[in-house]
Amino acid sequence: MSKASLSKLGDAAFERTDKVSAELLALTYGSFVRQLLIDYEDAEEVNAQLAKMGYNIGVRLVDDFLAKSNAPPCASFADTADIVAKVAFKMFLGVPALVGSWSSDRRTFSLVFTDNPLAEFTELPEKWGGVWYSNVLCGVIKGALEMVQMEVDARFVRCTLRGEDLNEIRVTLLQVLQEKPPVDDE
Amino acid sequence: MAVYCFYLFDRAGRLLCYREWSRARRTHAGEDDAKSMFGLLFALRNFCSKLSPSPLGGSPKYYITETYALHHHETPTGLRFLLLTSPDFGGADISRDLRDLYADAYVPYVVKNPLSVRGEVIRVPAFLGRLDSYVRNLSCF
Amino acid sequence: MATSSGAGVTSTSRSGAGVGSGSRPVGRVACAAVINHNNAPLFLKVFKDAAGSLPRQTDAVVRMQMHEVVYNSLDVVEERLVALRAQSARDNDGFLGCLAVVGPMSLYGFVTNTHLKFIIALRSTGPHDYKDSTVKALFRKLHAAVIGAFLNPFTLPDAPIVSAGFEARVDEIARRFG
Repeated sequence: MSKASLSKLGDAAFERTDKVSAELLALTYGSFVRQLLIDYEDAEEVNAQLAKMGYNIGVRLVDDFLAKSNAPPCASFADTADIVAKVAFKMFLGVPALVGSWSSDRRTFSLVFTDNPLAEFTELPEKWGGVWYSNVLCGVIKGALEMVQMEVDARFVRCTLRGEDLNEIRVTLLQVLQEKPPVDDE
Repeated sequence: MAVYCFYLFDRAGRLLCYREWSRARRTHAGEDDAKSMFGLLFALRNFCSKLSPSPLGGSPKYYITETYALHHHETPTGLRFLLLTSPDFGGADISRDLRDLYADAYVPYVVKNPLSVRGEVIRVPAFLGRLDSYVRNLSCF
Repeated sequence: MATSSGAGVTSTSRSGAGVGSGSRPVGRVACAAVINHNNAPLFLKVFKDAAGSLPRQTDAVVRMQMHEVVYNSLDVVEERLVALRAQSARDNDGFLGCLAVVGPMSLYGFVTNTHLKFIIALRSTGPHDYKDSTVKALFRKLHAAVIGAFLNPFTLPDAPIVSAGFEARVDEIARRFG
């Protein structure tokens, strides 16, 4: 499927999805991250917690995605990357991402996006410079892809809250999970 | 025409939901029944994708015997929806109905229910109710 | 209605603000302050005039003085609030008018529905240099910037606003005002 028609698919899926106020989302997420920082007092730990929560969202969200998006089946990891960027990002965040910076072994790519509805009003205090504020997204990607048999590592490498001009998530395919035959205990 | 029973398995082969409407004879009791059903499906699907000319594989939609038909829909997340009907179901694409059941009942009532735990038997009344009315509305019921 | 050139705060009547004339200094915004419902300062910024210089004193001294001037004007704010409450809700847009003229500055006040108070000091030759509508528009911009700052999850209610982004936006508003 061409990238243009994937974008159309993303737009259509976004149109069909129920909407919620951007302020409500950004403020809910913001107070949530702030509370985590108060509770854990450690940037690394908060990054890990956000990723974990994202994972739990991802393993559910993927079914919603499959049921609603009409996304075509993926024949390769490159297809998966395009569908995540063009359809899933658009459908759930309202903004598509760009796929780029493929590694030579074609197992690592970058998702790049500028608008981030989670961080719309946020200014990260210097004290929390080590926080990847939107790390929940990495967890969502990891959880969702794991449910379709792709174990991946996803991490932020650039974030607009750190003064960079765009957000970049690096996604690496670790392995394609194999289905296990049912155990025969007779 | 009749609908016998419904199974829902997850990827690991756990039986998430079983319902029956008119099933005259059981081959095995309870758990064994589900286990042999999942085993059959696993083998059947692997076999089907080996025969497939496309690298995407492709899972079976239904098979039919003289006494019953088994309809099947598998999601990319490894959920398997199965429906056993009588063989005279009229050739309708019931696999498609099972897909709708996934999108209209499983996703909203099970996936989006924050209290439902993955891999556990589904006890959500809203889902079970929808499943029942779905099946009763099939033309072959 | 008096214009004072001393350091004291002189109250002026609200109704008198009309079309101003004469030479207006450029770099007209001298100071912008945000004060919460308990009269605790959340933000105060002093702006240099167009020549880029503050009066002879050092920045810190000017800041202190400005704090004092703003603080003194809060009494007038309280008076105006009482008057404002007497008005019908529809006429009440939160604008408190010219609170005082302090030397070369006119102080204007604005109160939000959440009882945040904004005080802006404009460089002027008298209380009638600026149209109400001009000042109101300035307050609206400041209000929008403050709302933006409060939407930041790391801005705590009732704590001073510490945000480079907010400061930059206020700078921009002041610069655009002339």
